[in-house]
Amino acid sequence: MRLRAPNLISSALLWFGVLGPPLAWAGQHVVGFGASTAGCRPFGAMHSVDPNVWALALTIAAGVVAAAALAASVVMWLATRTEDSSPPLGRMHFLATLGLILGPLFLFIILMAGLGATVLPGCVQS
Amino acid sequence: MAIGVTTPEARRRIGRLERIWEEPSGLVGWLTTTDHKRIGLLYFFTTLLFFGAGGVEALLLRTQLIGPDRGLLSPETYNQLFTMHGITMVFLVVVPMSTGAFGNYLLPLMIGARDMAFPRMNAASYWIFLAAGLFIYTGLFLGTAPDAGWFDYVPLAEKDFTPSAGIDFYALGLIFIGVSTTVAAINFIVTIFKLRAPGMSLNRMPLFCYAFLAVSFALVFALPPLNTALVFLELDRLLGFHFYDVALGGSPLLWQHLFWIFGHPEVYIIILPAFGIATSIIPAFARRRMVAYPFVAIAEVLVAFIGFGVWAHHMFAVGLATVTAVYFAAASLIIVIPSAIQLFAWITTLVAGRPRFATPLLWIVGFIIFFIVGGLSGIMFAAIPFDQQAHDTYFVVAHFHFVIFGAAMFPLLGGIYYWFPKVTGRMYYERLGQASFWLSFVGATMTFFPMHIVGLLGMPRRVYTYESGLGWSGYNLAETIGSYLLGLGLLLVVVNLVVSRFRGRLAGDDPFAGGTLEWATSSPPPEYNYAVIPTVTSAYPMWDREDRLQDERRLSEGVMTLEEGHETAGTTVLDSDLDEILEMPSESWSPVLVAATLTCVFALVLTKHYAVAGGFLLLTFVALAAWHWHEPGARWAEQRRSALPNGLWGIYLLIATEGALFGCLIATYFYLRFQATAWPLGGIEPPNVVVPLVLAGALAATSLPMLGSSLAAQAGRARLAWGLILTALVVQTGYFAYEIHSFANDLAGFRPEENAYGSMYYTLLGADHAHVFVGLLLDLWLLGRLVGGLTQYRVTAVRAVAWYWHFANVMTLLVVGTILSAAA
Repeated sequence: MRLRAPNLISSALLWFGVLGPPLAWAGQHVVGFGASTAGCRPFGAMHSVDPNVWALALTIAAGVVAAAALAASVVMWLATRTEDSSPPLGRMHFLATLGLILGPLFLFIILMAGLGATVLPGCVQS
Repeated sequence: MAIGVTTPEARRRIGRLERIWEEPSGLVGWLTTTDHKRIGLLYFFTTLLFFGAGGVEALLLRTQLIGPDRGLLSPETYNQLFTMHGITMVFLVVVPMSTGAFGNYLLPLMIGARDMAFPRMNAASYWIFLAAGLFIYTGLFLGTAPDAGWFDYVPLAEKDFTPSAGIDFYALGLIFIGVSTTVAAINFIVTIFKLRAPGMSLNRMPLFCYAFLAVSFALVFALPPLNTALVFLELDRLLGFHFYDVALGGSPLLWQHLFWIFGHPEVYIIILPAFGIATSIIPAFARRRMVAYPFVAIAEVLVAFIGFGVWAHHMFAVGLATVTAVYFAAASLIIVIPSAIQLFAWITTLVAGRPRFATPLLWIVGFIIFFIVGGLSGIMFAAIPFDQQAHDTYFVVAHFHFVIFGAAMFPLLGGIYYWFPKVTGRMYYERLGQASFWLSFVGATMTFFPMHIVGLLGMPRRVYTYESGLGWSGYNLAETIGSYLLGLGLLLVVVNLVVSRFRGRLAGDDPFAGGTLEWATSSPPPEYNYAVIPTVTSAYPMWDREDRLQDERRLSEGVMTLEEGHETAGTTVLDSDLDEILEMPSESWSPVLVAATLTCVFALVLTKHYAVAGGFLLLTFVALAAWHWHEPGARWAEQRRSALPNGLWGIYLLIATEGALFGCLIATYFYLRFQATAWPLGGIEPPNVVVPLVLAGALAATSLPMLGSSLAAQAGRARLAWGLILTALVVQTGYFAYEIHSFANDLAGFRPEENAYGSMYYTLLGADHAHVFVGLLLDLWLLGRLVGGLTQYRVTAVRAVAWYWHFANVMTLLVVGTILSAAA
């Protein structure tokens, strides 16, 4: 299906495709850092915070968001294919292309960091 | 091809524009200028002077290390010099030269604008930068320069271990510079968002602009952690707080986290403008467009973004938990990908084009080589075991000099040659230019490459001398010889430019057949930049011949010449559709005045005259109010705009940076709490829950009248807007008065000097109260302005202040929630 003009749904898909993967990674990174910092200190012992469990949960959540965003970018890229760079469709195709770059890249970081943080022993000093 | 002036009609219009945009001449002109080009030149010459100072410091350090057991410098002097060298090059040279000088001069030209979005703010950022630079150097001239390294680790930097005022010059000076840099970053973002030429949609924006957009966003979010760390340090040093005192619940690692959350993005802040310059020079000299435009555009943004997630790789040696370090190791390895995308794109563009290796391109080729070497050694530090071995050795010094000098300064030098004809109207001397490159390239390689080897041989960084017989002497000798060669090469650059300025042949408007818009105007550009606002249909508008011919026709016809006042075109953010005609402020004394009063504030804090400093801070607010007395004219009000006004973008970005500041404060609270076995520390009673919650709720409710005032102002109902603001002000003042009373009562119970909990409690609340206080001042200012009725400017002001209060209210709820969590 080719898009003729932007609408609310296409704009939402487009921006989800562009912003979803980096935000998913940022969430995994910041919360994962927080969970490991809390979990490996007295607070973690008192409140039973397990950094490995948190890492697994965060990786699944962030991975799903990034994969869904990648799918959204694929849809938008196909819907906005055009030789003409004129806005708004030319700009939308450009953003969808960015989404195609961002999705796999951040999915890779999410899995790479997540697997390590899940599998490695929790609170051993590096 | 540049726009030609072919008809009498066109000449008449140009004469009119010249009269409108003319600024005073002489010293007054330079002091009051708001012209982005003159401000760019002010930045350039100031940073050049600091570059000279930093260079002399480097040569003194290298001379001291030329051989073992040398005594040219005492250990104390050596410490001060290497610290000043680092501070100077990072904060006073590379960043302000790239953003302040190159960004200011070129960015509006490249996007077809007549000035920056906030011209007076632009001038203020320069004067504040100058004052802050001199403030830091005052310490050196007084013999108390900072001496704990550019990253100033605690506890060494704490009062107990470094009682001299050098650290205070460092901390206050960097906060001072931070004001300038934040203001400049916000200005760049709004300029790129709102002042692009019609047609320059996101997919047609020059890659240079993507680099500067990425840098500016990085600055907006990177400076708050640094400022938080510096404020904590000064509170520890000047008022006896305990943020970094492990004995009383603080943490020295807190400094490292906060500093490197800033510090690593800072590396990309330093290098991204260089990427932008490379992506401008390479297409011009390869005579083809950059390959993989979307990939390069997003790679520039990605480098800045992922750069925020790698900070702890500077801390792999401190004993972080493996599970923590893994997140950072992954990000540090992956950040190679966007960097490599750009490298491949530059190289492929050169290979696929017909490159002409003139001086600017030579510097870029040198940059690519240095970036590959510095980048590869950077990846090595992402591997935790290697990092722990090479930590604090000369290998690290080698790595970051390859990146910061080779990869950041070389493109700046290439850029100086590239845009010299545009700025001066004259060509540089090519052979002298090439000689300066080769001398600098050989000198830099000779200086920095052997540092890898001595680092691996075990030479630690920051030692003022070393013993003979360790196998380091030959390498150090070579490094010192290299540094003098490098100095000579850089001196040749200066000589070339000075001589060319007066004796170089005339350059014409577009001597390199560049692809971006700055080559469309005359060399040097007139004060109004463009006689007609250009229209753009690709990322390389100068190579779209028909579009430029169209500009000539429109000049004759008076289409988009905007000659009724000091005006430029405002466009929409995504697609750059023409949206409004903006009246731009002209020359003003206000920026200098604001910088002067702020200087007094910092100087008085340094000398511990806090009450007088507070008085000068209020004076700064008065100066800011006077600054905003003049409002843009009626032509603006007649426009029908669909996009957000510049003022609102400005307040959103201010909110973003202030939000990051509160994020750092709240994160610090929990960081300290996580390491405590009991919270609050030291038997302090947990806070009362009910009253603060009710009060915070009452304050949050004032968002409703503020929202109402915003809607009323947009509907043209001035009196209703005024009444709603007054209603909100009454509640906000009541809240503030009670909170100050409560703050004083709390102080009678426990003090911030008691332990880290006390320090955190009062700092968090104090930051929130300060924001509420500023909101009250804004309310009063607004009420005063609305007495005279509504204008478009005042409507935007009401909306902006309403947004400020929404933000302050949310922050109050978060702060109160954080503090009350101690009672849970």
